[in-house]
Amino acid sequence: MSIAATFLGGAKSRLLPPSIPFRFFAVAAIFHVLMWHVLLTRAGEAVGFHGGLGSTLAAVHLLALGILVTTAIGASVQLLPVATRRALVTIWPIKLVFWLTVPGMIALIGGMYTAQTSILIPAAVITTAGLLLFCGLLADNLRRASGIPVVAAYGWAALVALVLVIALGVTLAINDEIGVLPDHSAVALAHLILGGFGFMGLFVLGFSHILVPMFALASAPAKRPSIASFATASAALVLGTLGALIGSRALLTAATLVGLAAAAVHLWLMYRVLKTGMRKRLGLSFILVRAAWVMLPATLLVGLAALYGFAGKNGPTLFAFLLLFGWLLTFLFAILQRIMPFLASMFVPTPAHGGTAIVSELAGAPSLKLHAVCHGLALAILAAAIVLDNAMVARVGSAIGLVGAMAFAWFTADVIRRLLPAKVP
Amino acid sequence: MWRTADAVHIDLRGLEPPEPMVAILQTIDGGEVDTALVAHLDREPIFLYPELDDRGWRHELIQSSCGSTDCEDGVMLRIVRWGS
Repeated sequence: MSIAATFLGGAKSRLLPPSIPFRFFAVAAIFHVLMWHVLLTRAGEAVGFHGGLGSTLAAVHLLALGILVTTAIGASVQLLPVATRRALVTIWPIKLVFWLTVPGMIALIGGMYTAQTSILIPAAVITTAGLLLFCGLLADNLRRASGIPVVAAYGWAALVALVLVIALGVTLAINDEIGVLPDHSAVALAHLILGGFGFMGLFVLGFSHILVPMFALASAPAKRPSIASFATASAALVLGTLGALIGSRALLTAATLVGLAAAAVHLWLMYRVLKTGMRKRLGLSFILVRAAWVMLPATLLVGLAALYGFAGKNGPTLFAFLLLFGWLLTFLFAILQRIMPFLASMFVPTPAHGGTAIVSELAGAPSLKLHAVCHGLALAILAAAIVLDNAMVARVGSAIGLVGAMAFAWFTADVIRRLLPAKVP
Repeated sequence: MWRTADAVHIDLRGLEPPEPMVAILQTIDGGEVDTALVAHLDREPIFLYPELDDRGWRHELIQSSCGSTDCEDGVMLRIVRWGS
């Protein structure tokens, strides 16, 4: 253990043992591989997916639950206690979150893949129990977060969205079994909007206010436009959810336009952060971050076009693809590849003479370069496959995505390997 | 910012993250510290540590007013150049 780590003493107690966040990150890396594998083997169904049980719905939830939500839990339980100065009294609730959500997700996704409706409800209940426990832990931290009001506001809104998305998800699972909803697809769209733009979207936007300045070594974005951006994004989310539930194209159009305004303010704030930051060379991860930023307005524009039938036969599929794969997945892996080495560095001895940390050593890892190239190619090829409604093109894109996912899993394993001599608790 | 016999002190309490981290790096990079800097902070700046490692500085949390490294009114971080 380094001299620094030895001296960390009481304050270090706010950092969880590395095994806690890394179990979530490792699972996300595995689900990432599985997701691309499912898409590769069932590409024909994916390009024109318009809902319903089966392999594509399973792949979507491998991404949404298995990668996005799992990573969000791992990152937030580790970082929020430090930011809010609210140490966790005990770690067993987080372990319980893991042991409820991960097996629950596996069963739920398995039920979707095999279209076994009898599995869906119990699996959804187990997953829900884990996610609600996480909501409780998140709320407990957020109520102490008065020092970071913008991030806290995004956090609370994301938490509300998560509760709603869980409720709609359970409703959809029940509907698959006994058929209680008058319009399954309307609730499914609201579920997508609340999950993609709501929980994960607000989570990404909120954490960007700390993480992007942190990596760029810049001041936090100005408070008033940040609050304006938050209010606008929240309004768009409410409009979009209501629009989906009541099937109102006018409301969905308004949601898209308000969402574009929120995105514009957010991107302007992030541009200012990068422009004023002390660090100009931000490396590979920020190529992905910038790509994700392009995808955010692109998603909304495609959604708007799809509403009016200008995005082709598979316009709605392209909208969901750009939201989940283009914006959220790209951003998440960009940040994850920075956070994992950083967290590992807190538990790995620094050389006695000081100098290069694990963060720098892993920043340009070949596995990350391979992942970035494959991810970009897979996005472009799959988007083309959806537009062309071509399964063979989708198969090629999924194969490339799978190679990228394996590269990222290799990177994750490499980070964890470096932790092992530090005796992961 | 003020100086004592053994260190330069900087009070960064009340600033939102990542302002304290940026201020510390600006102070170090600006050459205002010879050997040791003591930062008075609201919260532990954990993202700062890899940056310090890269710059050849080490860090230690030091006992604060409450007799612990982790008081309600903040933390004190001593940053020292490697080899000093």
